[in-house]
Amino acid sequence: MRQMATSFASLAMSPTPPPPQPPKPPSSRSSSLQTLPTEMLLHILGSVDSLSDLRALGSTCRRIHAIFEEDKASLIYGFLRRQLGPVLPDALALYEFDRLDASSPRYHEDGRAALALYDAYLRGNGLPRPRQVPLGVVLHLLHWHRVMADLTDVYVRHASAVFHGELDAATQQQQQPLPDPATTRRLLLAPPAQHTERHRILRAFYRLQILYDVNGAPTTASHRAGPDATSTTGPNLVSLRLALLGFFWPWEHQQLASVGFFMLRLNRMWTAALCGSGRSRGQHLHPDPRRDRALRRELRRGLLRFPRSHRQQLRDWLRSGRARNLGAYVHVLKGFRAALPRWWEDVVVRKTARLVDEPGDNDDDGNGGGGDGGNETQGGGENWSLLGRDHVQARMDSFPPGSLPFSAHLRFEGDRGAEGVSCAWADAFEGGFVEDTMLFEPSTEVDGMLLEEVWFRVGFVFWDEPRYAALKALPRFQVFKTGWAARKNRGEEESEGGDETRQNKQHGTWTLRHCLCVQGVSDAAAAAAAILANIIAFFANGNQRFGTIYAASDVRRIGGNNLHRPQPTPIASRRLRPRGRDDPIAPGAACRGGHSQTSGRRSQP
Amino acid sequence: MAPIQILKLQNTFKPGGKVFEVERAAAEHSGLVQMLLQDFDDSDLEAIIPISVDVSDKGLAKVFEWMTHSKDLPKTTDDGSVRGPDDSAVNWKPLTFSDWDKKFFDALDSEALYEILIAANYLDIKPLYELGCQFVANMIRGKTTEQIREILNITSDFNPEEELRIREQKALVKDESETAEKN
Repeated sequence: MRQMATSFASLAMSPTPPPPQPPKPPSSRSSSLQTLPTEMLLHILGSVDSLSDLRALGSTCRRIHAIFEEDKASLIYGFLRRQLGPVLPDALALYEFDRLDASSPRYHEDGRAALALYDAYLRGNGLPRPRQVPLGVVLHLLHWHRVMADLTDVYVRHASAVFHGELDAATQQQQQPLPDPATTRRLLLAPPAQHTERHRILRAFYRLQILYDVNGAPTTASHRAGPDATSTTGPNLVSLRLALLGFFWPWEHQQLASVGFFMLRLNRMWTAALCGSGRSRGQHLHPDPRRDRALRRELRRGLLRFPRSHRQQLRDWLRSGRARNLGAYVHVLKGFRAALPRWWEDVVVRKTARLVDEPGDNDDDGNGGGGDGGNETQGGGENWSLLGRDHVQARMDSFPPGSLPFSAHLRFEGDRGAEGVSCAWADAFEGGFVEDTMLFEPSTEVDGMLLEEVWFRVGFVFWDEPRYAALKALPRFQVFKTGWAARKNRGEEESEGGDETRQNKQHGTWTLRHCLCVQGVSDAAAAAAAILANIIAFFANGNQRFGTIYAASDVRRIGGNNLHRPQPTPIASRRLRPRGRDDPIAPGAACRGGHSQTSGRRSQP
Repeated sequence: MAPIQILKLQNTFKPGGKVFEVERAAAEHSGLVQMLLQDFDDSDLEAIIPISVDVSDKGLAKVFEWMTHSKDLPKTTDDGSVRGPDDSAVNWKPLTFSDWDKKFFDALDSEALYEILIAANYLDIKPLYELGCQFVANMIRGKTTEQIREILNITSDFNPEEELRIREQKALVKDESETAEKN
């Protein structure tokens, strides 16, 4: 009453009534997140960098939950895109290759389509936008990302153990002390950067799985249909493999080989953890028990494991050194194809098909894979590496200097991303793009292990420049001097200098650089004439040439694919260092202080 | 005539809004201002430029403070943000907060933060908008739903049945990914 009286009193006292005010707009300003506009909430949800955080935020209130549910696929895809970065094309490609069914009559067409998509993705074309990807695909991508991220964690963990062991061994060594142990330790044990080293490792695991899928790995639908459903040979599969390997740069092949080595070890570790005894039994692959269980489940299902016959093939592929730099050749072939009409590719495929189907394609060196179709697989594997090289060597002369569709010499220009050439590769090969690493000579050894094997196992090609420099500073790795692989590849001794051209002539090594040097044609007309002449020569002599030189028995006899070089020592005669306590990747060995100089055994000729 | 270097901006959403004087180089962070600069002569821009956004003068002052400090940073274009084109994963770069940005956002309360987001969205200042959203996302890193509600001042409006259903769906993505894996 009193208030009313006061109010009336005030009204009564006011001389004139206040002028009418326009109604105030309703204020949307508030200090709560849930009152923000939808597009803003969507942007915030899209900025969250962990799935558990995304789920937690999406469960806070009705409105945010509805937005999350509505755009769940695009939000998770956005998260994956940020996590994967430059590896996204490979992740999307793995989805395509994982769906391939080798028992289907459309296998080849589907495979070619998957390859075309992969090619486009790698060029940055056709990458789906977040709203274009259905939830099923996103969940598939998510599943593989978890697995590959776990494997990357395990790889990094083991590499870190190796670095610890090497550092301990180096610091205890009195003869050759480290110049700056503190700096070396800091650089070597720094955690891997999210966007360079880690992405390189992650990408290599994805690509290995793609390669396995094309080879009919157990995870593919074809393998689940039964062991006979997958044909591991034949022109279709061979041409798919050839094209797939052509997508990768030479240093990426080395990264692939490094994780391949690691997977062979991991599978052994896993088997030992399941069936072994003593300390090996129950050994954890991943420090997080939940992720460890998930990883074991994947390994049990056949993740990254060849079937038995293929496993032998992979071992040979990795160890023999015959295909280590295949990517360079195939890449050149691809560039060559790009410069020619479409029908040219069909000619190559037909030739490939004829060669692969050629009878008598059995290995006669007693190094067969054993098991179902191992010999055929082995022969096919040789042939497709030969073909890439042959096509390159036979037709590179068609290009005048400076007209090649790729760079002939590479320089390391910093670790700006996972896509560029890695510091270690450029350093080892001195930037030579098509160095012939397919035929390593029996090399020197480090503590009883082949030089290249140490190189692959330590994973030099994954690490950024500072870590690589720190690795090279360690006494055990000082054999990896700048250009060691290129020099060895050219058959030069370390102390030898001399004329490079003479060396290459002497050893029959063919490199792109020298091809460019010896080219005499420079104008367009001469180039066109050279291409024409080469095409005519191919049709005139091609069949005969293929038949005489690349009959499978000849391939074996010449000991590989270099017609002029001395035959390399067969892999059977190289005695590899026994694994176990002296294995540099074995965490137990590293924890015990790495490698002792006396533990290695020299190979027996 | 020399191009005008100082722009006067006033929020007319409510009467009596403060007039802010902003350097041209700083104001060009705003897509809205860029459009005005293209469409009008300098003589027109000498007058007060009205903007209408439901943000207090205090919040707007913080936005202009950020713009002034970041005036030398590269400006964004219509087709891309500071992170690069939306569909280019290869070129995607993570957002990084400079020390100054960290101090700037750390000093804000939640109301000021949301006002900055609203103003940055209205004025089309992509770097500030993305930094703001990322800052909110960073605030909830590793937090539970309850903690997030507390931090971001969110009131749960679920009824008990919905709350139970949401709790059951907590591992939704995980379960679905495992189902996809089995298939």
